[in-house]
Amino acid sequence: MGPRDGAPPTAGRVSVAPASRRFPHGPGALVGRLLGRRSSSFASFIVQRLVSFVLLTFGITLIAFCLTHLVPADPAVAALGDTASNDEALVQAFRERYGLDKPLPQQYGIYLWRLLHGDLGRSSQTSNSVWHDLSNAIPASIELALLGIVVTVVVGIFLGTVSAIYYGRMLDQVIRVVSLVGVSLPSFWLALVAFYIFFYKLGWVPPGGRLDAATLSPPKVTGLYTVDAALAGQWSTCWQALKHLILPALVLAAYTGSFMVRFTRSAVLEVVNAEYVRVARAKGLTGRTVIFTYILRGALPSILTLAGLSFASLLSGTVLVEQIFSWPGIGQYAYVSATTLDLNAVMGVSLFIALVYLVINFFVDILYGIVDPRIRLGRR
Amino acid sequence: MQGIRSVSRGRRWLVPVAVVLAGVLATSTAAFSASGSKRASGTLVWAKSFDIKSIDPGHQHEVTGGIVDSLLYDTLTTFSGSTDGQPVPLVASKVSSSTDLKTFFFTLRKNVKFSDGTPLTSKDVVFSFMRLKYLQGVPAYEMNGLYAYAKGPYRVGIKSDTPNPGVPALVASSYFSILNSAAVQKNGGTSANNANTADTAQSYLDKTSAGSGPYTLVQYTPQASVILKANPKYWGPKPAYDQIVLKNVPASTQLLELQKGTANLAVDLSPDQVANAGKNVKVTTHASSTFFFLEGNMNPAIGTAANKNIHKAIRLALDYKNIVSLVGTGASQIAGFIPSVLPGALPAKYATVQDVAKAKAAVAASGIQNPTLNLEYPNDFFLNGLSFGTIAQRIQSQLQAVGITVNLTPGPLATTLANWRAGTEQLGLWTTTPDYPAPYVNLDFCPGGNHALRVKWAAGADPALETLCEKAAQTKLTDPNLSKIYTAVQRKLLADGPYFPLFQPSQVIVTSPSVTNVKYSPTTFVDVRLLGKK
Repeated sequence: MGPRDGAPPTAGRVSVAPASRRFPHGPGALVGRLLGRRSSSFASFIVQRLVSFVLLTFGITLIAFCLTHLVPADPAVAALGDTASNDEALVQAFRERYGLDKPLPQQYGIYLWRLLHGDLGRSSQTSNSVWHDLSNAIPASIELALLGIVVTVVVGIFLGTVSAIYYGRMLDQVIRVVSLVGVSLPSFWLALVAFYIFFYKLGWVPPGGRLDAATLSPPKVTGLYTVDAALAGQWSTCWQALKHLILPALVLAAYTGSFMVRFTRSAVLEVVNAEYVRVARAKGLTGRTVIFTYILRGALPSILTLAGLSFASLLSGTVLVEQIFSWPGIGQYAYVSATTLDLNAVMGVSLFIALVYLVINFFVDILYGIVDPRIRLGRR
Repeated sequence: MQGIRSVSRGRRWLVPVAVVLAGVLATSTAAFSASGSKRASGTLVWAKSFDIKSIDPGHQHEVTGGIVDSLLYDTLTTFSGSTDGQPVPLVASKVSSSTDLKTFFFTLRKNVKFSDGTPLTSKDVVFSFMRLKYLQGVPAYEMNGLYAYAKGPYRVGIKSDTPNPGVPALVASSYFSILNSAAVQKNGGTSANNANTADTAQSYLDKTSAGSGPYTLVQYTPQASVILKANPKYWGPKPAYDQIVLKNVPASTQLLELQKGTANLAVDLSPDQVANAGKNVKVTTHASSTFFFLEGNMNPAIGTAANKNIHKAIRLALDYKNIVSLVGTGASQIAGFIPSVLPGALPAKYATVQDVAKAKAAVAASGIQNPTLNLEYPNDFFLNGLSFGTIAQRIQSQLQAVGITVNLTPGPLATTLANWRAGTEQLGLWTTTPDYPAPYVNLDFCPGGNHALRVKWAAGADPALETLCEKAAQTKLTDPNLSKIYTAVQRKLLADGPYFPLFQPSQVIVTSPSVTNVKYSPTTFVDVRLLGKK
C-alpha cells in the first residue's frame, strides 16, 4: 500500500494512541462488548469515551468535594469576614443557606442531585448561582484561549516545521533558542514586561481589561465580546475588543506556542527520513506536497495531542496573566473562589476545568480517527 | 540529513506562508498603534483592585462595593466634607436622640428624589434598613439590636436595644444606603423578616441603581468595571465628573495606567511603589484608619502568651520605630487602639517605647524557661503592597533578642482567620479597620468584646477596665470628655490587655494632575463627591 492509498505509514513517528486504545479494558469496552460490536470500532470507541466521560465526571466531583472540605478552615468565617463571623446568628444563617449545616455525605448527595438538574449551587462570595458567575467568566477565557490557540498552532507548526527543514542551520538554531526562551520564561513575568513595553513605553496596545474603560460591553449573546459586538453591528467595539485581546493572547501563546515549535520540530524530524517520504521525493513530488501531504500529516496526531492540551490549558485560565491584564476570566474567578473558600464556586471551576480536558481529549481522539483512518477502522 | 536538504529545496511554499504571518503581525501592529483610551472629557477612571461581590447595599461588605454605593445612594448622614470626624447631615437635615441614647430621630429633607423622580420618604429609609437587617447578608450585623420605623412621611426613628451613641455615625455607612423601596419591591425586594429567603432583588440591584445619589449605574461587569453616569435629577450640587468608571486593575499596573493617562485615580499603591512616580501624577499621603497589631492568647492552655510578664516583655521588646520603617513613608506608630484620624485616638505621648533591659527582666520574672510562641499571620493577604511576613520576621528577631523564641506559622487568610476565630492562635499578627469612622467599634478589644473573645479574654476578667469601656461606649461623639474617657480606656487596655498596637500605615492617593480637591475618606479612601477637575 503506497502512501497515496491511505495514511502515511508510521515509521519512526511519535505516536500517542487514544486513551481507549491505551486502556482497552475500561468500562467503555465492556459496553462495546455488550452491544455486540468490536470494542475497537469507531462507534464503540465513542460509546466508550462517553461512558468514561460520565464516570470521570462523577469521580472528579467526588475528589473535588473531598479536597475542598479537607481545607482546615471554615467557609462561613472566610465568607463573612472577621467582624460578621462574630455574629452567631449570621454564621448559622450562612451555614443553612449554603447547606453547610448538614453532614458531609448528605452535602455531597445534595450537590450531585442538584448537579444532575443543572444546578451548580450558589456562590457564597457573590450570592449568585455559580452557573451565572461561570457564564460571565468562561466566555472571557474562551475568547482569550481561541486567539491563543490560533497563534499557538499557526506559529508553532510553521516555525517548528521550518526549524526541522533547516535542521542544524542558523535558522534552526535561532528558532530553537527562541522557543527555549518561550518555554522557560514565567508567564506572569512575561506579562508584566510585555505590558510595560507595549502599553507603557510604545503605546501600541490598550491597557488591561476587555474593553476601554468607558466602553459598554455589547449585548450578551455568546459572551465573546468580539462576536457579540459584531452581531450587534457595533464594529468599533468589536475592533476594540480585538485590540484588547491581542497582547494577553500573545503572552499566553508564548509558552504554548514555544512548546508547539519544539514538539513539531521533533515530530517532523521523526518522519522526515521515513521510507514513504523518500518514496514521495523519489516520485518527483514538490517539496510543498511532500511536507504538507506526507511529513506534516504523519506528524499530525502528535501535534493534535499537544494542541488539544494547549487549548485546555489556555481555557482553564492562567491566574496571574489574567490578573495582570485585568481579564475577568475563569482564572481570576478560581483564585477569588479559592481564597474565600467559596466551596460551590471551587467545585464549579474544578468541574469546568475537568470537563474542558475531557471534552478536548474526546475531540482529539475523534480527530485522530479523521487524520489516521487506521484508528477509525480499528486497525492496530 | 539528505532528506531534509532535499525537502528544503522546495521551500518556496514558505514565502506565501511568511507573507500571511507578516500580514497578521502587521494587522496586529496597526491595531496596536490605532489603539487608545480616548475618553470623553468629564470621565474619571479609578483604577482599583476589585473586591466587589455585589453592589446591592444589603449584600456588599467590601471596599469597592462601598465606593460604588456611596456614589449611587444617599445615606442619612455622611462623613463627606466633615472636618472634625463628626458625621454631618445628608438626607437627614436634623438628628436628635433620646436622653438614654436608645432612640434616634432623623428628620428628612423634602427635596430629595430618586433617580426616577420618586420623592425619598421615611418608608424608603425604613424599608432599606429593615431589609439590611433581615437579609442576613454579611453586613446585617450592623443592624443587630437596631430597628427602624417611620414617624411620619419625613421623620424616621431608630431604636436600639442598648444605649448606642454611634448610630448617627453608623448610618453614614454605605450599607445604610437608602433604596427606592417601590422599585426594589417591584423587583423582588422585601424587608419582611423572611427576607433571607424571600428577597430576590440582588440581581436587579447589581444591574440597576435605585438610589438618589449623584450617580446612576450604567453597567456593572463583575471582575471588570463599574460604569456610572451623573444623575441629572440629583438634588445636591452637580458632581464634577459626568462619568465615573471604576476599573479592575491590579496594584502592579495601576501606576503605569496613571502615568500613561488611561486612569486618573488609584489608592492601592504602597509608598515604595510611588516613590519615583514622576511628574505625570500627583501623590498625596494620608494617615489611614487601619492599624496593625500583635495579640497574645489569654488562655494559659494555649501557650505562654497568657502570662502577664510575657505580655510586658513583648510590649517592651518591640522596636516600634524600626517596624514602622519597614512600612514606608507616612506610616506612624499607633499609641492605642483608635487610629489617629478618628476621635478618641490616644495621643502619641502615651506610645510604648522599646526597653530591652526591662523586657529581659520581665521574661526572667515570668519564671518560664525559654518561652516559645507560634506567631500566625496571613501569607496571601497584602494591604496596599504591605506583606505581613516582613513584619512578622522583624517581630521574631526583636523578641528573640529578649529571650522569647517565636516560630512563624503563616497560612492562607481563610485558615488563619478560622484559627483566630476559634481562639487557638498563641500570637497573631492582624490588621483592623473600623466599619464606620467612630471609636466605638474598637471597644471590641475590651474583655468580653467580639475581638477579646478571639484571644479568650472573657467578660469579667478585668472589671475596672470593663467599667471604663462601658462608660466609653455610652459617650456621644460630641461629648467634650470623649478624648479623656477614651484615653483612660486605652491606657488601661495597654497595661492589662494582651494586645500590642504596632503602626498605622499611610494611605497613598495617586491622581492625574487634572484631578483637584483630593480629600481622604476613612470609608472610601477618597471623598469622591468632593473631587474637582481642572
